[in-house]
Amino acid sequence: MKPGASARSPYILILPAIALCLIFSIGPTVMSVRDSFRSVDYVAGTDKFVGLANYRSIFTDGVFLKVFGNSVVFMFCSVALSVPLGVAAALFLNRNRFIHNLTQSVIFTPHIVSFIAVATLWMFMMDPGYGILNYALGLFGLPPLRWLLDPGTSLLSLVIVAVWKTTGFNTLIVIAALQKIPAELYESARLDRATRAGMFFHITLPTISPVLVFLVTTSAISAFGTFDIVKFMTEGGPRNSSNLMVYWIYRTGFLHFQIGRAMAGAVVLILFLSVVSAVNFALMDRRAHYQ
Amino acid sequence: MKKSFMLLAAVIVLALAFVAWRQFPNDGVPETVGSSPDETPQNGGVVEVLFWNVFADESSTGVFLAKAAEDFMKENPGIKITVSGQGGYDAIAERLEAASAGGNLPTMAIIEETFLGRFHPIAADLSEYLPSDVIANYQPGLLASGYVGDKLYAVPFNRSMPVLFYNKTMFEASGLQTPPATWDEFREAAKAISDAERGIRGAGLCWDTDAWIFESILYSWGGDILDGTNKRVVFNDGGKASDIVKFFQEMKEEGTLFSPYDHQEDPWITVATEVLQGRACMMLGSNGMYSLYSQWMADAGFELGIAMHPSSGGTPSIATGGGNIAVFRNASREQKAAAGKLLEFLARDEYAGEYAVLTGYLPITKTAMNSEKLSAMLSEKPEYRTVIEQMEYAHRRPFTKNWKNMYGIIVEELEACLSDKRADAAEAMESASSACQKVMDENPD
Repeated sequence: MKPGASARSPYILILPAIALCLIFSIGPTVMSVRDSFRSVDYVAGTDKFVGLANYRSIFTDGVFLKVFGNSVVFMFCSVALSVPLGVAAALFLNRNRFIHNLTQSVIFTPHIVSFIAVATLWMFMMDPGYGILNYALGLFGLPPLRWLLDPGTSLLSLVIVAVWKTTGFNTLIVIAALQKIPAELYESARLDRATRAGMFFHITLPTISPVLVFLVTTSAISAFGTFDIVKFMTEGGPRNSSNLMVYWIYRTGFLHFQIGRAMAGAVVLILFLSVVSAVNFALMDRRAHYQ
Repeated sequence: MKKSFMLLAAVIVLALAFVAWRQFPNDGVPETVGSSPDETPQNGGVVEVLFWNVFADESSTGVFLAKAAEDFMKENPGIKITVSGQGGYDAIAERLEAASAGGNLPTMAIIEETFLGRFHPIAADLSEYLPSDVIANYQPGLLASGYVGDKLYAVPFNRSMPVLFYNKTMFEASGLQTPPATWDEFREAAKAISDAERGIRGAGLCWDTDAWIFESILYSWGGDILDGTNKRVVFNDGGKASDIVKFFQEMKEEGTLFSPYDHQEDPWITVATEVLQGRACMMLGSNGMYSLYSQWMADAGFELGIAMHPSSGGTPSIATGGGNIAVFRNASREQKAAAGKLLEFLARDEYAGEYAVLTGYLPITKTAMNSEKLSAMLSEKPEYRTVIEQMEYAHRRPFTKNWKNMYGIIVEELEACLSDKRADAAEAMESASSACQKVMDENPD
């Protein structure tokens, strides 16, 4: 311990961070859990304990179950596409040449563009009448799609946008991980006449596996918490085919004024993400190689 | 170290207890909302009134209200009015919800007329703050939605009704003389005007984001959303809603109806653009858009026609719409009295008349017709009288705190029926009706 420092110093130093965390994160979470067992009406000024009624209500609500299912599908598809695409792009771009550096910058751009701009751009591209995507399908002799307007394709359309937006970020993180792998490992492997596939599966993948654990976990949490593209591109429609959990919570709480049900949905979301994260860490930790 | 840890833990527990504990500003007993109603936030003896407006400050209503507030303050130097644009009906509803939780409501606000079903517990009884002759002078068809029982919680401001807009130039070019009065005539007229080769359709239809147009068609068809007890959902009783949806599905199939739900842009703008650009001829829309549409259509080289909302025969019944003004109980007695004075001021013939002329919204009082500006406008555009005559057939909108939730369910099905060829009208309306009933049952008013 440095002279002048007391045993309390570390606690005092972390107190501001803890206070902010309590006010903006833990506190609201505690309130959400509390309100999920209550019937709260801010306007009428009523607040009463209702036990598990809100949970019973949402688990017998076809819309909630559909939205939960949509969120799981959206999360799975987004992660299953954006992480492998990020790895593939990173492997290709992990070279110190001008064109590769330029491409790295270009594919990272969607990550820093505002979601409103992204949503507007994709809505133009997905317009059934004049959108470029249907034009492209036509070039291959394929029939046009109604993208965001069709219950069969609306969720897929959002997945495409989410993958487009997140792949660049994943690529950048994987490139950073790839650049930390010692070149000697590959040189030794080449001396032993290892194939490129062999080097990838036995050197690259195990070495970057901690980063992949991080990416899969954060991408899953981020995908399950998606709100903006739903709000701006589909508002959950048509017929809730593209409605996701956070948008449902917002709509139930702020538009339908059912705070208790919305909070029950929020608690389900927190529990589900906790389980996904725990399972993800447990499964991937066995295979992840930490140096 | 252990002491420090205990101290930190105690701070955490206290902080959690603090954030988890909450007291409503109007906890439990709505009647006592505003624990100190006589306390006035005075600013050098000036009573301050915060007025939330649904329109942007630079819109015609925003400019009108700013000017009216200025005139009012000249007459009443002890009152300061601050008009604040809040971005639309839904935005104000969300903010009122949050302000109720936070205990920082404005003094008064424009709310969409059906939202009184939600916000009447925090509204003040205006009969205490408005003279009875002023109340009696409001148009009864418009004032009805401000009452809950015998208490007056809101008065009309920017009120509207759906009317039939049509492109007079196209209409007459098709050999038609009088606008359709019934839905059968509407369909026949649409057939006569439609021209598949030129991509022209007789009509366009937007249900509206809160099902307002659907609602009005339903009333004109002899149906209703809720029964007299306000507890039972009846819009599809006897398959009425399904029949309406099928009617328009068939028109779309015939190629005589333009549906905006095949496009991604805002449905109102899409339909209006089709009509104003001469690619569709008739549409139901808010009379509040009359001035704007007249100008746009003139710019496109057409003449705008306005006619009464079609009905299925018998006595017409047409939805009212638009915004009412409510004053909130939390305000001090002086603020509520000042807000009452402002409402009285806005109901003067000169202001009510000017606002109707400026925007096309309905004249909210009986004597507003006496205002110079409105009289001059009616002489110049006699067809606008149709709008005023329609008020006689005003039908009050659903009164339940659940309406926002319910119309979301209804609109989703309605939109699907006009965009998805596979959608079955009967199934869709039955499903919407059951879902709405479930909402009503789970959240009784």
